[in-house]
Parts: sequence; structure tokens; C-alpha cells
Amino acid sequence: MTQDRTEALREFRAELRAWLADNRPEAPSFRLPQSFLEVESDAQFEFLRDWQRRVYDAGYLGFDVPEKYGGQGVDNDKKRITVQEMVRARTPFLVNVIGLHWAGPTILMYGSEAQKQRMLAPLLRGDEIWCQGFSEPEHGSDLASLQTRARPSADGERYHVSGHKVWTTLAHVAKWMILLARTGSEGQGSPAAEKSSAAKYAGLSYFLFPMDAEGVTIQPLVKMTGEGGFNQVIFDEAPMPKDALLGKEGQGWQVAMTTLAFERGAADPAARERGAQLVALFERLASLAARIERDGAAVIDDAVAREKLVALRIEAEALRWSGVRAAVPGLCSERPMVLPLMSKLTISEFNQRVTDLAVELLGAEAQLWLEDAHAIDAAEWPRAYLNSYGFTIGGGTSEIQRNILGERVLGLAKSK
Amino acid sequence: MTQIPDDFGFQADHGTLRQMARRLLAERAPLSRTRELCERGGDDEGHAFDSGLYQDMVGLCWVGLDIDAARGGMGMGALTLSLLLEQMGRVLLPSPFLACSLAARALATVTEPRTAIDDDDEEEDESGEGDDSEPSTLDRIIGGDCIATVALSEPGRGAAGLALDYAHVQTSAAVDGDDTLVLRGEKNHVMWGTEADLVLVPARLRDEQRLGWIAVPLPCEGVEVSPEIGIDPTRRTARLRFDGARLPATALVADADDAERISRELLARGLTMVAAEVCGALEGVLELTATYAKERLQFGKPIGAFQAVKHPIVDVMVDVELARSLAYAAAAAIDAGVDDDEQLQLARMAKVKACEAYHHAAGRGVQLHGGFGFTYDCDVHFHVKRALFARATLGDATLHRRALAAALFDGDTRRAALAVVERGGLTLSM
Repeated sequence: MTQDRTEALREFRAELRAWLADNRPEAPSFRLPQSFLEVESDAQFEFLRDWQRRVYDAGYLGFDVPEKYGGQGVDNDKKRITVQEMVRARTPFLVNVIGLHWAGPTILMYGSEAQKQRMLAPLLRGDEIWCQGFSEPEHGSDLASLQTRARPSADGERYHVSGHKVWTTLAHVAKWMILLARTGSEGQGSPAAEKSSAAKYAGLSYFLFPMDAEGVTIQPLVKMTGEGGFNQVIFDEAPMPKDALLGKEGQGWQVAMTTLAFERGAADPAARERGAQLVALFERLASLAARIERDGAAVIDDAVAREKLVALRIEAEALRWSGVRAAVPGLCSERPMVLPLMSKLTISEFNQRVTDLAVELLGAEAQLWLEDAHAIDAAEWPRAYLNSYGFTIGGGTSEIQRNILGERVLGLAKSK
Repeated sequence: MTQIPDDFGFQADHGTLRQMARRLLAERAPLSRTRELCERGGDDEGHAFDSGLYQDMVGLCWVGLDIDAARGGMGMGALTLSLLLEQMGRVLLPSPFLACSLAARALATVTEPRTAIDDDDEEEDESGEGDDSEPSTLDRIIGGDCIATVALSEPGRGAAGLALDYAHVQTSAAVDGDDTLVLRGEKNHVMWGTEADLVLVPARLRDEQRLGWIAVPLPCEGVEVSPEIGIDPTRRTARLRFDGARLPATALVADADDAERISRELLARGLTMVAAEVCGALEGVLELTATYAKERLQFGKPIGAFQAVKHPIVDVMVDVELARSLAYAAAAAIDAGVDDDEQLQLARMAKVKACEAYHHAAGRGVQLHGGFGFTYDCDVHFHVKRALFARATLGDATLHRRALAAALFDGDTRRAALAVVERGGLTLSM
């Protein structure tokens, strides 16, 4: 890197840091969601959308998108710096999660010029929210068997979608859905053929579906916490134009998996900052253990509690350095790519273990729920424990993650 | 504040060295050779390890790799040494390499030896009274002429084992006249004690209420070396009984602050090195088990196709990777010169994580090999035994977890810090 470039990036970081210090929003009067699984009220959503708009308008979002599509121009260094600084400043998350991490990169890779022109700028600014229509009630982990169909109309001008998607985060505020649906004729009327695995994959197509189409019913689902925030979407001959297709007909599985690989295969540019967050999560648990008592003594002084706490502290440190090591190829030579591939599994399970230990340490207090005036930390810990299952299940369950790691990394025989 | 660099201090030539080590050990010391050594009770020269290979390792300057060039070493870092040890662990190499490396390091740690360093004493007799034996001992270790070890444990500590500081060491050294030390006490689990030409012994300096490290040449009158019958056939250990052994005052290589520094450094480095070696062994048992899961057919398919087999193997792999990250971080912390307390904390974490993961992995290895896994013919039992050995080496998980808990949770400053930890926001961004 040239001297000028280094200097320019240093200035960029300094400006960004100053901007974040001035613009990082104050804590709202309501509970600020910490992840897209927790966005429930309009007020929460608008607060987060407003934050994304301000980041975009200030020129700090879209460093993986060319300027002609509304981005800042591809600049991996600046992208890395913005992720690092935002994690460091503990800003609210950018609410258009599916758009930024899934739809955007996929459109960039497979989209037509018209699709890129139309979709990317409002996606970046948060003006148009995206949701994901992959899972179905009967087809979760076995995603490729999904049955939602997109039938071409007789005149070839549009498709009609019928089917049922479920566990759809943000659908209630979304303008667009990335939709995986069956277009192939292979399976139709022939269950045997549909079961053949090649046909199963070949029959899928990837669409950019407009959520305001007729024949779309969005029904809120209630999470196990009793809170809303995600949905199921029912399609009854819902029309979409033919140019909603992304890539080619029958290419859907490949399109979906490319993005997945892209997303999961990359080392985290803000590994160090995120590692610090993992340790910070543990510190909040330790802080809880120092505040709560058991028969007059702090729980953190209890020998059994300490053993369990330290075991998790070690796990946090191991995850922290795994994130950093992922960017040092010479120290990953045994199994290149395994660290990013395993991070979803390990971090979601770590999160679950932390929140699980918290409710264990809370003992008799653990069963008090959100509205109870005596609930410790307003029952944030039991809530976080329940929500932890959203992460060990959503985006590919831990069991599916283990299959992927066993088959793709260790080369074990396929389980299906 | 010094911190671990983003690249852990890794350089391309470290990778070259690792590759060379891997090739050499794959050729000269595969697990089948380890089995042969264990079954025959040693090599043709009467050593419990492959002494020819050890001398070749000396020739490659592996012993003393992390010792300053000014003191005769290669001046490379803890990370490089870790990468080598990882490869040795992979084949469960029976070798006093780790013991020698630690002893060399301990001697090199003493920045100001009690007597002036004199380069001329290289050829002096080791037991010669009044001579500056310390530098020549280091040279001899690095040169492969002296198998050295360190006495880290005392029977009086029971399950805790580790006895490195004044509070825990019971072995005593009394001064008799101006120039003689009289050593009494007992050490156990001394790595390669039966093979060693020299053992470094921490002892309480009688009447002075401080710790000293004493270099005891072996054999030595008044020192009884009894082999322990250990579970791990790839490792030899001994119990050493000091029954009024008389040593020259120059045998005291470090006392007071220097001695405590040796103890601290031995602990941080030792734990880091054990962690690295265990990470290699973990890789070894993972490889054995994954290979078997691909080859063994039941119900018409490789058993690895069954999730009840696949998932435990994946969990082992995940643990290997996590343990490896910690082991490298601990080594990088030493090389970067981060704060001593942080070095030790990372070293404890790395050792605990690696050994617990290894113990679990070895157990899964037996289970997933089925009936064959329970036999002596199957190599997995070597890992089960090494895991028990490694867990017990340099303090077990309970000891280190307690020490970590004290460092992390106790003390007024620490409590105050915990009190102001930011509340709320319990979900990680993923």
C-alpha cells in the first residue's frame, strides 16, 4: 500500500470515528433491539431504519457496491474500517440485514443491469427492506425439497407464486423478498422424480419478489418469548413480473449457495472488535455473578459457579483468537476456510451457553419474566436465553452446520 | 500497551520450518515407530526415546530455538517453537525435547547469573566447585550433550501437583559452610528424570525464606532417582528423593527474584508449549478417527455418514481449531512481550482448553472405533494415555481454573471493573 493510500485510510478512519462519536444515536426510551430477531414495534424499526439512512447519507455504507448503483465504489479497506469502527463504537445494527448481507451481494453477482440499477440504492439506504423466503413449514433443514411454486403465465410475462414460507424475519416491513421457489417441471406430478436429488436442485429458481403483490398474506408469528418480530408468508397465485427472476431458471440453488459460501467463507474484517464483544458478553455475565447473591454471599465467590464461569471465559478467548487467526493463512494451513465456516456454529452456541449459565446462576430468580418488578436486569437474561435458540436454529441449524463441516471440511460421507 | 499483533508474529519461514518438521517426523517417527519404541522399551542405544533422532533435532538447532543467539540459541520465538512441538505432538513423539527446551529456557532466563559469565569454562568439569557452570550447562543442552529436565511437582501437593513458588515448594536447600548446599525433599512426575543428566530443582533456601533454583547433575550422591510406572508409554517420569545431597554453592543458578522469575517464565512458557504439543496430538487423534469413519462400513455405508458419528467428530475438529487459536495466541503473547499476567492467563487458558479437548477427543476416538478401539492394536489408546499425562502435566485444569478465577474475579480493582460493566445488549451480532 502506498504512503498516500495509508494516509488517506488513516484520515478516513479518523473522520469516521469522529462522525460516529457525534452521530451515534442516544439510547431510545424503548428497548433497543440487539438483533433482527428482536425488532417488534414500529418505533423500534423506524429508529433502526433512521440510523441506517444516516450512515448511508453520510457516505459510510456501500463500500462493496459501485457508485453507479448507489454505492460508495468498491473499497475493501474502507469497508473493513467501517465495520471495525461501527463494532467498536457499539452502534445499533443496520436493520436491512437480509438486504445488506444476502440480497445485495447476490444481486451484484447474478443480477441484470436493470436489477442492479433498480434495487441496490434503496436497499443500501434502508428505503426498501428485504426479507428472505427460503424455509417452509415442511422443508426447513431439507431446504432443497421446498414446494413453493412459481408458474409462468401463458403469455410468459409473469410468474404466479403459490406456497407457504415461514420464519420470515422483517416480512411485515419488507418491500422485497429473496424467494426460492420451484419452477422446474421435473418434480410435478411425479413424486419419485422429485425425490431424485439432481432434479430436486435443478427445479429451483431465485426471485426478487415484490411483497406488495396481490395474493400475499403476511401473518405474524409469535416467538417463544411471547414477542413478535417474524412472520409467515402465504402466496396464493401471487403474480410477479418475469424479470423478477435472478439468474436463470433452474439456477436457484446455485445462486443461493454462492451467496452462502461468500458470506460464510470470508474472514471477518472486524474479527478483533467482534472478539472483544465476545469477551464483553462474558464480562456482563461475570458482572451479574458479582451482583447477585446466594445466602448473603456473591455468586461469583461460589466455587461451583467460578468453575463454570472460567470455562466459558476460556471459550470466549478461544473464539476471540480464532476470529483473528482466520486472517493469517500461515496459521490455518491444516484446514483453510474452517474458521469462517465454523463461526456461526461456535458463536451461536457460545451465546447460548452464556445465557444458559446466567439463568442457572440466577437460581430462584431466573423464573421471573419481563414485566415483573423484581426481575433482575428486567429479565434480560432469561429473554436472551430464549432468544439464543433463534441463532442456533436460524440460518441453518447447528445440526446442519455440523453436517456441512463434517462433509465439506473433513470429507466424511454425506448424511443424506 | 503491547498487544498480540494481528498476524500473531507469524512469518513465512516459520511455515517452512513447520513443513520441514512435519516431513522429517512423518518419515522418521510415525506412530508405528512410537509403538515400536514403546514395545521394545527404547532404542538400540538404551535410551527410552529415539536418541539418533534427538541428535538430528539438535543438529537442526531445534533445541535452543527460542534462546537468544547471544547465549547460543537461534533467537526465534515461542510461536516457532510451538509450531515444532505441534508436529511432535501429532506423532506422539517420545522425546525429552520439551523438558530440555524448558530447562534451557530457565537457565537463559537468569539475566544476571550469580557469578560472572566466563566463556572459557565450556570445557570445565560440570561438577567442578567454584566454576561458572551455568553458561556451559546451557551450551551443553543446546549442543545435545546434556539431557536436562525440570522438577515441577512435589508429592506433598497431592492432586494439585505443581510446586513452583515459595509458598508451595517444600524441598529445602540448607547452606553448609560457605560453599555447600544440602538438599532435602522429594519431587515427583519429573519428565524424563530417568534419562536426565541434569535436573533443575526449585527449593526453599533454608533460613533465607526465599526460593532458589538448583542445578543438580545426575547421577548424584544423595539423590535417589526412581522410575515412575506411568500410564503413557511415550513418556518417562521419575520420582527424585534428595536425602542430604551435597552440591557446590554454584549449583544455585538463581535465587530470590531471579528464581521467582524462572518459575513464572517456566509456567507461562511450559503451559504454552504443552498446549501446542497437545494441539498436534489432537490433530493426530482427529485424523485417526475421521479416517476410520470414512473407511469402516456398517449398514452398507461408511459410519461417518451417520450423524451420531459425524457430529462428535466435527465437535472434536471445532475444539482442535479453538484450542489451536488459543495456543498460538499464548505463544504470540510471549513473543510480543505483553504484560506478564496476561501472558500467564493466556497460557493457562491454552493449556486447559487443549488438554480438556484432547481428553474428550481421545475418548470419542476410542468410542467411534468401536470394538477395535478397545484393543491394544488400535493406536487410539496411545492418545487416551497421552491425554491423561498431558492433563496432569504442569498443573491440572482445576488448578488453572482456580488461578484464572482469582485473577479474573477477585481483588478490589477487578470487582470495581465488573460493577461498571455495561448492562443490557445481551445478543451478539453474528
